[in-house]
Amino acid sequence: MMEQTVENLGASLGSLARELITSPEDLAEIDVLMVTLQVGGATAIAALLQMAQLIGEAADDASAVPAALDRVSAESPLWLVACLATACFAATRADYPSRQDAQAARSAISARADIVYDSAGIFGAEVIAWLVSLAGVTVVRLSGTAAERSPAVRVETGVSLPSTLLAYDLYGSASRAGEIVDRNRIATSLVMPVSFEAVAE
Amino acid sequence: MATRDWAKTLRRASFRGVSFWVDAEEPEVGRRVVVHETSGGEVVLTEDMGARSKTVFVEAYVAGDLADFAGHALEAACGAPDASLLILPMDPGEAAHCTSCARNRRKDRNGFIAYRLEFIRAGGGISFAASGLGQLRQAFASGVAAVAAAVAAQI
Repeated sequence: MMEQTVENLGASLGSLARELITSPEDLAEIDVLMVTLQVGGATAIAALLQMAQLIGEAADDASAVPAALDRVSAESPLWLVACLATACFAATRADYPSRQDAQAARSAISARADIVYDSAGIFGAEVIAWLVSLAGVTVVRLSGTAAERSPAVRVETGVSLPSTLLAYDLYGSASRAGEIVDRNRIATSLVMPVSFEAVAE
Repeated sequence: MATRDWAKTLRRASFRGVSFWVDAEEPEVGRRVVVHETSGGEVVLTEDMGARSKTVFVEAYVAGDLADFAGHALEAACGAPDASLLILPMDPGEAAHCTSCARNRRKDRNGFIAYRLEFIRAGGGISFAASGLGQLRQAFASGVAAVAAAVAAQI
């Protein structure tokens, strides 16, 4: 296995940043941090963690971040720490249309954090305490969001209907059709399936 | 004659989200006034130099079987850096710095721990994180330097 040095991890984060971020200002900031990585020592580690924060905060689609993180096959403890920081910022920013979405994101953060706590133990108690505070703030935030959102429900219709008609029937507004189409990943919005998921109100 | 139910209308006091009970609260507001006593003058000139900083003294207490834990939580909240939200029974929340938190535990009053708290209202530029992202940024920034040093020592 290739040794996962700070520079290698920085390069992985850099390519992740190019995949997820489109704003030129944020990418320029990533470049500055990449240069800082070459200083080495604690400065480089701090730059790496700031890159992780920036990716979580600046990613165009915050809900795509966890999947993108998992595609990178690196398992060093430092990488896991950086990933948790990115995932926390992304999860705090992401939009959750229904209660179930926010609850799923909360479970995902808790599960990710549990794995990271195990392997980050080698860095000492201070690092664990920091990670616990990051994950804790995120989970509290997601719990609050979950409590505010309407639950998602399954809607059954006898026949296939257009999404605009369904949106009008459900919410009294045809303009919310896109929401139902996106939620169920449907390619044919004119003929919706007879059973689909929708936010309760 | 119906009188107001004070116990119901007063707020539960807290600082940085840690609640406590209030025995007495003494906020002090006022003006910075300079008095010019001119030599031979019969009239004293006074000059208003602006508002003085608001200080709040609180005689607080925590009580019950878990008073020691509640006390430690209050001490941790008072010892944490930066201003945070202070809510007192008859005041809405405002940002304040805790400048002193003195514990007073007595052997003949088990389950009751008194505190003398001192606060200074935070200046206008101070704000505390209310949004989730703000709180997360604060949590991140507060530990990132120490974490970087700890990790660098291991690699």
